[in-house]
Amino acid sequence: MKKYVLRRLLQLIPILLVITFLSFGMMRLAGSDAVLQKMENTGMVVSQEVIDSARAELGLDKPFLTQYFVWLGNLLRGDMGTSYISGQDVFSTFLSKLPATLLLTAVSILLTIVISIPLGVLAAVKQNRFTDYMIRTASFLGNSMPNFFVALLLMYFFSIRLKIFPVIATGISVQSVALPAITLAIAMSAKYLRQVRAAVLDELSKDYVVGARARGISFYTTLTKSVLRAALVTILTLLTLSIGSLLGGTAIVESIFLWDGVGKLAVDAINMRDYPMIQAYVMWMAIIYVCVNLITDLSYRALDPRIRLGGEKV
Amino acid sequence: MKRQPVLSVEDLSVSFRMYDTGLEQADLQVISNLTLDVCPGEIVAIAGSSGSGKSLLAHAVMGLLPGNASVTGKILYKGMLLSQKEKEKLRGKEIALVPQSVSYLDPLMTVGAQVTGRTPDEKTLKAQKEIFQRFHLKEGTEKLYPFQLSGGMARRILVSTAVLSNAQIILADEPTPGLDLEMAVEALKIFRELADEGKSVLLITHDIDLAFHIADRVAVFYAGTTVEIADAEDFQKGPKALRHPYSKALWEALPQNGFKPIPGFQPYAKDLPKGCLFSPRCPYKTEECEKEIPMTKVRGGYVRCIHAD
Ligand SMILES: Nc1ncnc2c1ncn2[C@@H]1O[C@H](COP(=O)(O)OP(=O)(O)O)[C@@H](O)[C@H]1O
Ligand code: SF4
Ligand SMILES: [Mg+2]
Repeated sequence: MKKYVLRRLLQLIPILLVITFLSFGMMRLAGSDAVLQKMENTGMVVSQEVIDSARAELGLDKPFLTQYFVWLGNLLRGDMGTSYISGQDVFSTFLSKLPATLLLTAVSILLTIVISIPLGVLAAVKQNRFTDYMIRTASFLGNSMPNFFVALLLMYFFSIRLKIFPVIATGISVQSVALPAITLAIAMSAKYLRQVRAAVLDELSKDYVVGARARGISFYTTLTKSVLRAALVTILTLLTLSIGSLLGGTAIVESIFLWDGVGKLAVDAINMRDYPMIQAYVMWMAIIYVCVNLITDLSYRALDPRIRLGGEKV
Repeated sequence: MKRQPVLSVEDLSVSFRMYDTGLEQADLQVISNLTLDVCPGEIVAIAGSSGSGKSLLAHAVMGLLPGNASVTGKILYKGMLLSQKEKEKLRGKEIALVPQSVSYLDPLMTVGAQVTGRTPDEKTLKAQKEIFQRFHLKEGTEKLYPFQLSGGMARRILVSTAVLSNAQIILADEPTPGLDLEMAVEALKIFRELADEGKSVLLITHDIDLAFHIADRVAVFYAGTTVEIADAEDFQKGPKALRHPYSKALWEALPQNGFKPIPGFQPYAKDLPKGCLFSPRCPYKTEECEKEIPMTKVRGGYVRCIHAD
């Protein structure tokens, strides 16, 4: 078990190498660079000499491979470089944005779980009855409203009308995380609810449910002890993907609510061709996906004896 | 005096509401006017080809039919008319099922918990050990999950579950396929012992040869109804002792009796023939046969054929 976890974590090394190399290459292919972007933003016209010397200062005049290995060498020494744009240390800048993203991820996922799992299960159990139709209609509405629209609606009611939550986040607090988290949770819950319903219905149609009824086991017991556990395996897969993408930041919602997370940081870094910052972001994403997948695999094992015990037959 | 049956099925019909293309819906009648009873101490075999409604009968008795099924007729347990609520109360306790497939085992639960319940008492545990031994299931099998068992082992688990429930009647839906001869014989021996204790077994099988030899009475199923119910002895004697043309044809289709195939096919529920369900394949068919055919008593057995004598 420990060996398995260690092996999976070691896989991170080649993944990081490949992915940072690829992103390095892709950013160069995308054209432009930090120097040009900076000029463009300030609207100044500068001579080629100035541009060249600015490039030389950042090392952008060197061949592509040299640039990559210089970056990699620094990384191995624990130095992720400084931002081309702000001149600040990349690692500490990135770190300063993480708490906001972590909090938003945690709260919105928690809300999503609390909303979508009970409603999805209820809809499945009451299939094709009034309750099911109501829940499905709500899910349809939630699905068809774009994020920014939900955000504006929430702002209007909760911030302007009821004055419960601030319009603009003032630091990281329970009050200011509420609206962005609810915005994300509405969209995700609407999607998950239907998947939870489908997964539970799929389980409920299996023979073993009839088998349990025949043994005189109550429906509630079968639902909680077997059906939900089996359906959870499917649901977990989906949740994992969402957690992964939430940890990568949510640029739109972050911008609307001025929530200072890694999503906006990443979009800005890409627009400005801030290579060291982009590399930090790419590495963060790779680490998230490997860890989140590992955690999912471990929970599958806990949930399903067929995975835990492997194919052992007697 | 006639003993009171443990289980009586009177004039049972089951149909499924099916949605065809679009909104058109059709009722698919899969069991028609089925009548059957099982007395204490008796093994009644149900013999019929696949698709004749054997499993559905068992599920109807247990209250396990899906939501789109509608049921008419009566099901009585010890003379008491069973509603769905009562079936739910009785199942697993007074009436037990050996399901037809090992897929009826819960994949996330150890087989021990399924056989004895999650919190068994001493007595149940002792009984479980005994029956596992009889079925050559090694010590420790109860801690395994279904996916760790071979098909034959899983089948023996299903039979053990029904036997341990202490039910008054066991509905065994094809309990022997996948078992080697020794284990199949052991299962049937256990059923006979239960019957000798005064319990009852409804043994569903498409192996009519087996049905003749182990049961007290045999009910022959055809297209969702009983066409003949008679003592097993009659089936051992042969066509002369039998009453229905289908039963006779079945007997003659057995390998040791000439392997004579029955021409034609069992009708599908979607287009059942008028009157006698066997009429399209029956050599003795007359015009009368297109009317409703009642179950009548002939030579001590019951038969659904107007020309039987
Ligand atoms: N849920 C269902 N919906 C529609 N038709 C069904 C359903 N279950 C069974 N049937 C049909 O009922 C008939 C009898 O099935 P069954 O009782 O399983 O036969 P068997 O005698 O082989 O056990 C078959 O033709 C089958 O297709
Ligand atoms: S009722 Fe008529 S068609 Fe049906 S089995 Fe008897 S003789 Fe044949
Ligand atoms: Mg069957």
